[in-house]
Amino acid sequence: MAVDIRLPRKRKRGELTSEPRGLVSPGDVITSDTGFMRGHGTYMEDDKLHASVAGVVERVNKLICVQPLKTRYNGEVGDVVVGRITEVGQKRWRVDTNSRLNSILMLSSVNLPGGELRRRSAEDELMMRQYLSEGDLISAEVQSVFSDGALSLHTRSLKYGKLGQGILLKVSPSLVKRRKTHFHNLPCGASVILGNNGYIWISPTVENESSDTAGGFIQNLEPVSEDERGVIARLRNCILGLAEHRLMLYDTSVLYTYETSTKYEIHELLKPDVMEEVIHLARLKLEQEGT
Amino acid sequence: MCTHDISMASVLLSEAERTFILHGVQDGLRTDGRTCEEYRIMELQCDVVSNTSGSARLKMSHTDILVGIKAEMGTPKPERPDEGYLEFFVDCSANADPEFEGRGGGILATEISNTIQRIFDSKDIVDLEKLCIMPKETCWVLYVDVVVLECGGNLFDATSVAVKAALHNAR
Repeated sequence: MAVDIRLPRKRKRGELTSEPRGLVSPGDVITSDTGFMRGHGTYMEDDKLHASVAGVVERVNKLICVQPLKTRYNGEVGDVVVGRITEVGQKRWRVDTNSRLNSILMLSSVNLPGGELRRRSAEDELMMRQYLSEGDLISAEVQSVFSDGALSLHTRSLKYGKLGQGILLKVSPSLVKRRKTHFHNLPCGASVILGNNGYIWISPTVENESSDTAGGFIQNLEPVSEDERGVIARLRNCILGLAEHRLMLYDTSVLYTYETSTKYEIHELLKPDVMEEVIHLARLKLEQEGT
Repeated sequence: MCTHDISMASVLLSEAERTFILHGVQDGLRTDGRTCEEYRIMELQCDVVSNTSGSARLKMSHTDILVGIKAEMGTPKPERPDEGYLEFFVDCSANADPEFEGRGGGILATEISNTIQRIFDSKDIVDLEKLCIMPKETCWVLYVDVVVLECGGNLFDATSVAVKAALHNAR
């Protein structure tokens, strides 16, 4: 049973094709011009505008703000998120979505069995725990944002709901690109949900799309085949490698990384130098395609 | 794995996730592609703490262990008059996991300490007779201090490798 022990390596900077302009670190002076309005991530000192977070400077007409590189998820209406139930409350569930405050999933925002137009009765409140209990994973959409910044979620579509077997990954929310759809059925044989909040869900593809039981009521707990399990494990390593090299996560990047990784064994991808090579090849391929 | 009241880092999991992981373990293919017996990559650095006789720091993905060894003179134990001995102390720092705050890490620390004590009690690893200066009177006592800086699983293996490296590093 071989154990791989090596000396610690210095964190490599990686080949930066072009450093993004406007990178600032806390304390850097952005501008001395007083005509600008202060946005998020900035503060005034001695008539100069300084950055308070590490990130990229963004300017919209007269407003200057700094978008931080590492931040908690800030929700917007319409985002797809993957969350974990932390608490079952009165007519609502509290969901952890990697944001500053736990999000809320109201009982009236979920699909219950027996049709959508059923009025929520008192019995439904008592049965809440049977539907979603602590520790369950859901995919949902942001319905609205409360005044304090907490998100209100809903699962009012058949594609959202409780998640079954699979793996959850946590990456930085800034790495997930905003696209038209976040649910991808990859041709390699697994499904991926890229949540805007940085929670990525990898699961085996469900063959029959017609789910008569709305929102994953009956969970399929049968063992997943070994091939599918291998695909999921490889995808997991690829996505974590992409996240470590700070590449944006979307279906094409994940797919290309998966394809370039097929020449290695799955557990070899855990080695940092192997992963670096795979990411490098995938990045070249992405640049070639122009996406 | 020994069972104890405080779990090493309690993670909320859904039933389906748990089933998936357990089936994977049964099949011999874990979620990151490793077999049940494979280790994660370890990064080892020796001689990190300057005022010790020997030290080592081991990092295994999210697990970080720091070991320092101090050698002092002492009297040998009565049942082993011509051998020195090792004293282990394990500290699960509160940085490693929020559960280790205050008294939380104590139970886990004593468990690791007892296991390491039993492991390193064998002649194949450390030749305790070399630690003897004068039989029955003085011997070297090696105080091994282990600090768990970050808890990412597999503390027992990581600690034992780190202690071994630190012992090797000790002059």
